[in-house]
Amino acid sequence: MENWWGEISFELNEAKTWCIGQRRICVQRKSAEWLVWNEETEDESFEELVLEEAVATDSTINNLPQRYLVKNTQKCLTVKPLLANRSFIIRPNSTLNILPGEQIELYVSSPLWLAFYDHGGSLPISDLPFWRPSDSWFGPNTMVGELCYSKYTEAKVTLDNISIHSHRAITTISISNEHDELLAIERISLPTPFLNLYVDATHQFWTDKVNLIHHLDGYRPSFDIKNLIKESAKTDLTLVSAAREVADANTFMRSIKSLVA
Amino acid sequence: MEETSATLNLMEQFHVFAIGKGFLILIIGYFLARFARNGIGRLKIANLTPHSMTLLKRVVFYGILVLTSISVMKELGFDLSVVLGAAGIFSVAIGFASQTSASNLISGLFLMMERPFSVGDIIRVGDTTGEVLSIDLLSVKVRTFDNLFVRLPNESMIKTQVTTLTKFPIRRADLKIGIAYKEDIERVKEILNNVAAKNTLCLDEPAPVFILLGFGASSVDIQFSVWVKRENFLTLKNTMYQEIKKTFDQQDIEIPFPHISLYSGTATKPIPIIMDRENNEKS
Repeated sequence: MENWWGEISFELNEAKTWCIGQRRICVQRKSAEWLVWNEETEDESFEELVLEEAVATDSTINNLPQRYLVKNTQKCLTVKPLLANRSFIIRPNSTLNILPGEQIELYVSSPLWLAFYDHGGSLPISDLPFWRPSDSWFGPNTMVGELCYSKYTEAKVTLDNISIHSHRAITTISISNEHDELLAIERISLPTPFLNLYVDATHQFWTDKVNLIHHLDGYRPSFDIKNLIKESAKTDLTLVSAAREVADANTFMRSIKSLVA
Repeated sequence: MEETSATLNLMEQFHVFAIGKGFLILIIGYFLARFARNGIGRLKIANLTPHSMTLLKRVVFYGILVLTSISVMKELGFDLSVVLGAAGIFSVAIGFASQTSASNLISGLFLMMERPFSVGDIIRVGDTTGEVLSIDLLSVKVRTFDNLFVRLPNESMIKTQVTTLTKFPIRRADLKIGIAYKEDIERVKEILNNVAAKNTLCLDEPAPVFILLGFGASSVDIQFSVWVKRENFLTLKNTMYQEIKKTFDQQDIEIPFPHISLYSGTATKPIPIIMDRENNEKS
């Protein structure tokens, strides 16, 4: 299966399209500009993502392209899937109650963004979500908190139950209740901007692991992010894109008071 | 030689040297004040808002000018105690005349300490809504959305209610909807929740609130409150109303016009109207 990410070559005036059903993102190379068409759909499709050679005209797509001007375009464009640019709220259908002394693992999937980088550039020329999730708010009240995304998430306790999609990444959340009381979880804010993105041999995307620990003496659970390559038993993982934001202790204290509400 | 010394004596008699020296000090002081003001402006002091920076620059500039003026007056031989005495009497007279200005000044100081809003925020005072351009000693300058310049005295801000629209990152939009009496309220509630869920700008949490306001004269009045990121407030309000109208049309839900039913009595049939074309009468 051909990779739809990485170094994608473009001849002059050549166009390529990333398609998931009717959802299409098309890029064309001109001599001094890159043209990007973004044809959105309302409902998310779960078909396989394919990279097509599009015809170098814009008659197939109805909307106008975004134009990104450079002095000279290069033969290659770096294409990277990225995780969401905001935290994601995972809300299970009913409250999860973790018994004292127990440790469980949850598997959630979140949608990917598609970013194009001109040679060596650190900022993408375009950064588009396949499907823009719904805005949401995570915080103790409406005055203090952060804007997040929600929707399009599934929280499963076994890996077999989670659906595999080419445009979504799976995150393992390990929750450990070291307290002597029940830990009730109604929602979890997944810190997606701080997670790295990996791919395995079957082209399934994975992120770093998130560990939540409810300590015996602590009031709120503490959490940390584990590098997936070190943590996972899988040996076929490759780093695809680094986290959007670099996390340090202060960042977490400032931006995410608690992952669990 | 004698002429030179005579000229010098004359100049000293007319205090030319002293005045010249005074002028020089004034000019040097003025340039020093400007230099200090520009220097302060270039410094990036943490936690200093643009408004506080402007204030600091002004204080430094006028402070240096005042000190320069005092030293000039000393140089010219004025007795400062007399000047201060005169200033004291003068200020009492001014005080009586400028009660409102003094009140505005003090209100301004309290406003600065309290900081209910800063430059760039959008505030509503009475009927005026606009962006704060500057917070000055006596008044706050605001630009309304139709680009008018409004001067709000500080005294009025202290005495009345000031709403800062840009204080918090999210805001609630209250959508007023009226549906016909014949409609199923539960079904309408479900449809509205679906419209909100489909709209990506509408926040999933805090969840939208469905409030039945009551039974109006022509319709069942509903308030559907949805939360949104502050910057998207207007866009969301417009898109939600459009999508609600579109969905109601698709689902055959009636948004009634105001209408009145006329009866001649409590238990009689509607008033009959007969058109008599031959005699051209109405009865």
